[in-house]
Amino acid sequence: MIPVMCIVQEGQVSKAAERALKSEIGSFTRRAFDAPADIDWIVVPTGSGFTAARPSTTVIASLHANRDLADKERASLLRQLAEICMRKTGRSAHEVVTSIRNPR
Amino acid sequence: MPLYMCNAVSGTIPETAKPKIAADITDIHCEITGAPRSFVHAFFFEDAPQLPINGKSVFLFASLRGGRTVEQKQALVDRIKASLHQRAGVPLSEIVVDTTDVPASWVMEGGDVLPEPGEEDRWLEAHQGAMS
Repeated sequence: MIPVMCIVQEGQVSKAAERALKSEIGSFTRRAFDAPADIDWIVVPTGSGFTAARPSTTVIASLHANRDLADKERASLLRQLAEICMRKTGRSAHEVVTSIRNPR
Repeated sequence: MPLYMCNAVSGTIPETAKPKIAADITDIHCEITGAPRSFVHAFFFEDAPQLPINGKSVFLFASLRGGRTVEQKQALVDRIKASLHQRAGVPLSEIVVDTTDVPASWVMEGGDVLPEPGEEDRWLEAHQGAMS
């Protein structure tokens, strides 16, 4: 399993979009790491998320890979993950943060 | 990145204090590290199982771009604890702040891998229009 943490702001992502995003992240981890995703879906309550000290619209997707990655491959995977988040949530590139870490 | 995730026992941090603490965290982080404000995320939770409070009142976990010095990280911890104490009235002994380093190359924001600390100018120049 690939542990994935998704953080969204309350009211930002519909249930349908949540299902679609989780499904596509699962497909992504199978494709990239040959393993299913174990997604921890975290909702930041209204009035509790801030970016640059202003109300946040940021979506964060962070995962731990199951193997060490070279910079070039990691950058490509980060971009793919960001594009999935943008497409499924309707957020811009500057509202999406992705992180792919080496194995724990 | 940085990402500050603050978990508190329900009711410990008043709603009105959260924007003030978030502003303090942003100011403190940028003052100590020189990072752009747009990089700083501060999220507040109550009784979130992902961030164990371990018997205290507040646990704040900070993911920082790697490359900060021990002194910088200690100053961040001390000043953010002081903000939580001042803004929410939480005793210092009830606040735990922990940090972890994440290499800049492991994080993407704005469609590009984050710059190393101290190399933000070129990155910001390329993203200026979209960030404003």
